[in-house]
Amino acid sequence: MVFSSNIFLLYFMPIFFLVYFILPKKVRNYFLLLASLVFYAWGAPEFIIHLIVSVIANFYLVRWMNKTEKPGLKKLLCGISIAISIGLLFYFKYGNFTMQNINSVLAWFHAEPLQWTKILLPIGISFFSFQSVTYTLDTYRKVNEPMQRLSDYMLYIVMFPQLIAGPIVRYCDIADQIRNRESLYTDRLHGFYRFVIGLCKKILIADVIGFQVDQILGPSNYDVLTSAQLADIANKIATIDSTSAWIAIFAFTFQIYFDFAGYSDMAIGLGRMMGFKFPENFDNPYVSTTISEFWRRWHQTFSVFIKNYLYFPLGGSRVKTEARKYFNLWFCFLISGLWHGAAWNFVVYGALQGIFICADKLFLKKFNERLGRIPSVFFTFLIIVLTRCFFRIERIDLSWMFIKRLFAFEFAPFHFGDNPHLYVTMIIAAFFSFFTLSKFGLKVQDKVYFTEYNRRQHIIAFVISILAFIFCLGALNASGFSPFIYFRF
Amino acid sequence: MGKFKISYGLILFTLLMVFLFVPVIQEWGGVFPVKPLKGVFEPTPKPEMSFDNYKSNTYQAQIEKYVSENFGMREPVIRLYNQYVWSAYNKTYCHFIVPGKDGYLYYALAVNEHYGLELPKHYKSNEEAMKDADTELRQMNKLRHVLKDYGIEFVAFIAPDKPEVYPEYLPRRDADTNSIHLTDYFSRRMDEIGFPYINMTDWFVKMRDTASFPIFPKTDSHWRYSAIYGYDSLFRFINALDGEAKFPNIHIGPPTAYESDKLEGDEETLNLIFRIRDDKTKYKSDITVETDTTQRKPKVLFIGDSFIWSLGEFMPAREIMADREIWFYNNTAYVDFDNKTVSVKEIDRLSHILNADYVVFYSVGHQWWEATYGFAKDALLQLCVSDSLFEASVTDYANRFRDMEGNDDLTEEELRKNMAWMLRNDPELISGLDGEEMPTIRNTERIEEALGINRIRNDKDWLNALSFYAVQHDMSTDEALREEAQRIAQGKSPLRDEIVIDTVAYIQMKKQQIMEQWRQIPEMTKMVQEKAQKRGLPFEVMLEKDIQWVLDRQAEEGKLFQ
Repeated sequence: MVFSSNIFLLYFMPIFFLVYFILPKKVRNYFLLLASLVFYAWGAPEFIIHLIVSVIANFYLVRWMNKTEKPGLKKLLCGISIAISIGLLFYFKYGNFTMQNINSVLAWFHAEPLQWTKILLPIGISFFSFQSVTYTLDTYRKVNEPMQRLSDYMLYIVMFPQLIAGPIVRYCDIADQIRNRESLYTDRLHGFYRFVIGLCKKILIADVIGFQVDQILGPSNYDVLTSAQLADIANKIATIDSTSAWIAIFAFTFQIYFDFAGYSDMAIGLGRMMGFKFPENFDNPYVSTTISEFWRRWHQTFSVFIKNYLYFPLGGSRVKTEARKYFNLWFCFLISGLWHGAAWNFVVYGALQGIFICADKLFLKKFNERLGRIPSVFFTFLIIVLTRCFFRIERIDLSWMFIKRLFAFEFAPFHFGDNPHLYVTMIIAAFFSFFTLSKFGLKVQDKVYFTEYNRRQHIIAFVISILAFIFCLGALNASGFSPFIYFRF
Repeated sequence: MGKFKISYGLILFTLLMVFLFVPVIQEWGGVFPVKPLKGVFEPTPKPEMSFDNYKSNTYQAQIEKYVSENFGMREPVIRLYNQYVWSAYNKTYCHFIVPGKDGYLYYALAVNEHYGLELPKHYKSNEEAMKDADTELRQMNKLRHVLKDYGIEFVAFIAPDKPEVYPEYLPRRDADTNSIHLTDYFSRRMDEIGFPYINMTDWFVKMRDTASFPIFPKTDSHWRYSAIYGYDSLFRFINALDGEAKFPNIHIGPPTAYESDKLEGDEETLNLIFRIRDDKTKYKSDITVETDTTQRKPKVLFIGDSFIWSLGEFMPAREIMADREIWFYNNTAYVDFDNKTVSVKEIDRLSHILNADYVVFYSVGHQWWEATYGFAKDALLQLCVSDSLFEASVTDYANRFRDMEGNDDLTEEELRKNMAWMLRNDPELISGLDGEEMPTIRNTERIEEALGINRIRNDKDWLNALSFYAVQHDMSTDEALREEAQRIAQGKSPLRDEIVIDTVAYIQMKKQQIMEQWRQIPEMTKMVQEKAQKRGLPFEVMLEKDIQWVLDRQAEEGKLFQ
């Protein structure tokens, strides 16, 4: 189930909150767990058993790991627990990709290909696998004690607001809230406002832009396309004029931000309605002056995860040589790229980000500082836009062809009247993407998101949220249904 | 702040929960009156949940679609968003309508055709399109030649496209100037081979600057009032041919403007909150039909698109024609003036064709690439190819293609099925219909039978008796007619002599039959359900009442048995 579906908005959410708030506090977690399992089972019926079994196995493994005094056994149990989480992730997410590449190599040697039944990717596996890892490692490092109840641990992993697209909530950040949290009426209202903000980002901006991006570049997931459809996309890209190409890639850059940030807002909002305080996931990434800053602002919980559970174990910046430091950085981004999808274009995307991060450390940051704030923001944004080509177009040859078309300078005349809905939405998206470049913008953002409202402000926010919710419901049903982008990752 | 949390926080949160449940309450109870959405769509049936469809995710997808079509308050929220995109961006989600400038609406395919963008979607090159057009025209001409043997004229009619008449309000597009326009090609070729046709486009383009009424309404892609002049021209054109039956003279009075609140045509399907414009002016004319008892009025079979619907609205069709039948896209047959519908495939097509004095293929310009929606080839087969010849041709082609690559895995039955499909799709492969020559073969036995059926059809008492017989034996009237014609051909006594009509029993049976038919049509069931809800009646009672009304009306018009 996704948040921007009629089933969720019209049935699941109202019924869930009605029952949740009627129930006594001590049984709310059980109900939340049950609802979360229903939520996941609705969208991924084939994988619910995998999820439950892996969660139960992890829970007992970590408990055993915590109890044992033997360091060797502790390490082994920690390794097994992580292997289960990462193994499942690898099998489901990278199995097809690995076999495809092995068979390509075999074909090169004229050998018989290996037989392999294509497997489907369970939604959200990257997110709940990472949460399992944080639980295991935080317990291993004695940051937190393990959960005493299986139901609490299961709730931490499968809680529906963040189950399928994050934010990736570290165990240490939420352990106390699971057993002990309070949800004031104002929290519930604030949570709803935040949910509606996310819904607007997704439905009124990302979906509107995304529809047009698909019109220009074809569908984004090439796995499901026939060779004729792929040929059609290749033909489209080969003949695209530079104006359309730039519009498409700028549009996609806004689409992916509003899609993902919208989902995070909704998750944070739903959590807050129940009294949870999930970590923020985005901090105006497009106002970054450097690529390093961008990655501190973009998908923050993922960056924190990579930093804590990959970069530091690799040695981080405390390594003997400069080369090793840059390798560590670059490798982390390479893995990040691969996390986004099991395809070579994502590997290239990650590698490019890594190169720019290293360049930042070496000279780019200084160069940007000399440029001044506003030019460096736009320079960084331009880099982001260009690297997005490898993110959106799932074949490296086509991505490269597309970049060539961007710089072919074969511009077609631009007509605003051809698609005013797209262009106005892009202007709105750009406005909100760069809004916090000004102090006033920052102040407004803090007011809207992070400060308590007085009575008048609540009434205004309530009315606006209700109207926006109705508007989103209209948009969702007038223009059709569209799934979120980040569920694939 | 503390006080606020207890009082306003609680109130607002309670209001929020109530608000979230409004759609569910509306869905279950229909508490608030809402204006229904307009437009044609295929409603999603409520899916039945099973382990298999749940596991494969199909149930979830179907229920999401079903909910999106049925949730409470759907109508106002969709209208709200539609109004926003319309007012802010001149955009509509009604995919077949394209907004032009100044509130003008156009049919999307017509706009594409105007800019030369439609044909390349269907053909790889102009040559391929022209080749297809030549084939169609050759078949139309052959059909015309055959129909003439039975005193039937076959003519074509090109209705004007709105983009040709009002190009200045069109939205901007990058035109494909290399693409041809098939109406031009068809017109030229029909001139060359002498096929009778009338193309209304140029005349309407000239008329637009002098007429005191709009040729097309601003918010509809179909012609409305101006259609009167189009049909009148068609009737005059046909009268100039050699046919025996003639259309009576029609006098069209001056156009009278009047006000009407009723939304019509494409604007209705945009499902907005506010009207596109406040101008509610519509036009009508007094039409007088000259009565001439010495002249037989024609029976006309129209095959084509929606540009025929204004005929019934603006002209006294019953006074002009003895019978009018419409085969909408050669798919749905409207078999009499009452617009009773039946699938074209289900009727005895041959007898219906032979019952007409004129067969008119009419279509608006942008749809000519689909001419004649398969009618010409099907009619040629019906008229010229007997069942035995068809079977022999299937055998012949099956023998020729049996050893071809790709056919090795086919069973004999599958191979014959494929060959039959191929021949129906291209009847000119059958010996006697091939080449440029006019066909000399005829499906004599079936034609005789069809003519026999038509003799019965045109005898009202006989037809009534067979309609009663059909209802009694749960068959269509066409099937009963055919059985009767076959009995006569075999020298048996006609069924008519044995049938005693029991009107009460007939009405009862007819009621049951209609009830079953209506229950099969989701739109009809939904309509009756809504009506029953409004009037506070049980569904069954409302259904019976509605059917009784239909039957009473038929009885009043003396058409109870048809």
